[in-house]
Amino acid sequence: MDILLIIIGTLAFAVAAPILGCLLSGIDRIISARMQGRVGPPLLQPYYDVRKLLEKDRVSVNASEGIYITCALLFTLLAGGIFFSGGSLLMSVFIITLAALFFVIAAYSTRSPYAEIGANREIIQVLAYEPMVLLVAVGFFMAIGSFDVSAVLSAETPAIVKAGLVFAGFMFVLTIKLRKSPFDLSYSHHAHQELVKGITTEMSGSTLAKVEIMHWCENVLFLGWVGMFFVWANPLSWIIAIAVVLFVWFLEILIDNNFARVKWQAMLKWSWIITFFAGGINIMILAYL
Amino acid sequence: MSLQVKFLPMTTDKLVQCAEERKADGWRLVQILCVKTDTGINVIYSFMKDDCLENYTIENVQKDTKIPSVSGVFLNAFVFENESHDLFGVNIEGIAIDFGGKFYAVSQSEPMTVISPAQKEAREKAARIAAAKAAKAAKTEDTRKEGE
Amino acid sequence: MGKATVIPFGPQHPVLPEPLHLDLVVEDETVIEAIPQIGFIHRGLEKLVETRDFNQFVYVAERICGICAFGHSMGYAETIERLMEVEIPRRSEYLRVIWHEMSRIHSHLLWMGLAADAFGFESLFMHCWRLRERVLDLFEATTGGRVIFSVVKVGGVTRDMTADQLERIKTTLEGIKGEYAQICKAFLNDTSVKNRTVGIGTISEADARAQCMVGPFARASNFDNDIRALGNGAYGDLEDFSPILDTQGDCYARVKVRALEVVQAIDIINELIAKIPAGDVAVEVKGAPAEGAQTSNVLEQPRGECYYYALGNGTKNLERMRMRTPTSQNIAGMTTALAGCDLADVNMIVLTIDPCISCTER
Repeated sequence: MDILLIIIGTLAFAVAAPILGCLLSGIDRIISARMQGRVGPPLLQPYYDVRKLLEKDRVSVNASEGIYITCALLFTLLAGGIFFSGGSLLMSVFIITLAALFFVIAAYSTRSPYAEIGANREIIQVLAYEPMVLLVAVGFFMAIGSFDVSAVLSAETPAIVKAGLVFAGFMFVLTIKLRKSPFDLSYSHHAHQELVKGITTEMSGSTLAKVEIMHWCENVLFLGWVGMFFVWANPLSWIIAIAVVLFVWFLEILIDNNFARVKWQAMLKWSWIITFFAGGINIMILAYL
Repeated sequence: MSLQVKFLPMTTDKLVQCAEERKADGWRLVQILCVKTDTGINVIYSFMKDDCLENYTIENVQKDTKIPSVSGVFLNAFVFENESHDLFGVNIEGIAIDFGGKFYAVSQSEPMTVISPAQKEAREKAARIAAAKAAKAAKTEDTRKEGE
Repeated sequence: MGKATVIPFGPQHPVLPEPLHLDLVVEDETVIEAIPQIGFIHRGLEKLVETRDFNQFVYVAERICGICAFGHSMGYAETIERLMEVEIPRRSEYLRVIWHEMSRIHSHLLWMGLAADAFGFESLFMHCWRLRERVLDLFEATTGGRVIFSVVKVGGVTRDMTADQLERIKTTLEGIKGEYAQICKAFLNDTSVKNRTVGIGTISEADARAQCMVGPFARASNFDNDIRALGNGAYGDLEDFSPILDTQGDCYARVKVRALEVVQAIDIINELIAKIPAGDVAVEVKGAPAEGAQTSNVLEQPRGECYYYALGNGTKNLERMRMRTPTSQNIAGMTTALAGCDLADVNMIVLTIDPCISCTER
């Protein structure tokens, strides 16, 4: 891995991803509002919210919470940098998981009952989606021939052709990773759930602002993983990839608005069943045929 | 059919037995309420079945009177019995879920038994008017008798 | 065995519609026991009756709760009329029932929105409340107020409705029916919703009777105690009225009972508008309740049966006024339903009794 390339990639990601993520989040809120018969906030509302959070005083429960969240944000940026600079997909997957675990530890460090239960649920969410994400990396390797993302630029066919079922499985767990209904168990943008605000109950001010920015960057990264399946040597494939990404984002908004929240038992059961069938069958086909 | 309302007297020793009879008969406990009177507190238990609403009044309950709880027969009574205890100071024994006075977290104990100064004045004025009226009636009665 | 944590639920919690405190003893997301505590909104309204005369107290009675406002003013006025043996004109009885049934529609729509919010289905919540806005517009057109109407007085009602207004009520309610059917389909047929409501918080019929539950909460467990069947007021002029029952006794059944009650309320309103007699809308009430006169009255509010007791003392102020609201009766049922449930179901179960703690505490 070229360290310099990764550093440049991380810095570029740190600048571009929050902007892109903010716009995506704004579009999400407006489309959701229209689906519910409301007008919706202005497009830049997520930016105004984060700016207001940054202006607030520090009233956190303890100092370590802020440190853990900063680590989580840094690792998210690193994972994005590795991915978008063409580095190893597997490395990107592991580093983003590390960021998620720092997020969980930050919630545990506050020792508040609601944050604890939110953190428990977040761990269960990680358990639910992690197997599928690993199978995505494996499927990608078997379809393209390398763990490096830059290999798509010289691929003959897009990864979707050979790893189609893996992609379908990934679509299912994407709803969990993007924290959308029916799988918004640990943290929901709408406060009307039994855990108050779940994992971020005790976070406020600049810590919560970092969490928001981290979610934006995560969203951009995961949509990048979606798009990666549709890029191949042909430069026109980029347009197809971006079109698919926007369609998937719209689909997630649609699903968010039309499902009630499920309980963790159902989420775990269904993600593992789909991981086993979609991911498992695809990998076996690629391995033995 | 329309609502039939009855008011009947009751005593503390017959209370639980009456509740058990009503439950066996298919009646339900509607509520328990207290009224502060000059001589004590009246506790009214209401039972209802179909279109018949019966209210049983235990009169002149004093501070030291112990009333047996009916929450063993009707569990939902615990809400009203705790309320009676918190707001009126009625002594009820054996409540199924007894909050010990903390059900209604109010800052003044037995607030419903408080008589405010304005009220006291109004009552004394009413009492004076009633006394004056009675005296006048007695006087006219005397004058009439003398006239006979 | 997991470690037991105590989670303080309320009084301030985004998902609770009313200030209620529950200490939930939880082990690994299963609730072992739930101990309720109320008292955060006790305003001593029953004591106010000693300083406000019986005509003025209507305004206090309707401010006990925002959702059940009309029900309380109507129940109070009926009780005083029964106490003083006043007969009110037939037209005012019809108007009261029309407003009360519209209150039932708005209350149930509000509740359904909150239930959708509780299981995480925000867009359904928005759609329910959007429909409710149309009913609130009707209230504003006929009474001048959206939530608290101040349109009932002892002796009748203070305003009349013109034929145009009655026609408008009919057409608006007709217009709601189509969208309402779609919302009901989402509540009753959607799999993710059924996942959160079927089999949750079941209360058997025997338990419902033993704990004397009231309202749709009890009717979902097949306990038929609907006071409207007694035929007080204009309810007696209905062709046939049968309470809506369900035998399942779980959260799904309670959603279904309330959803169907809205349709039934629309039918009741249509029937009464067709039959409404002409005439006065109020009688003059002179004098005061006699000393020692006491009476009690019951009324079927959206949340269940509400009991009123009044005691007069010869002056214009009542000696005692008591309003026992349906939620107080249902608290025992709620406590038993909460034992042994999942943490994620707590707010669903608390919501399905349709708690109105402001009414309970007055």
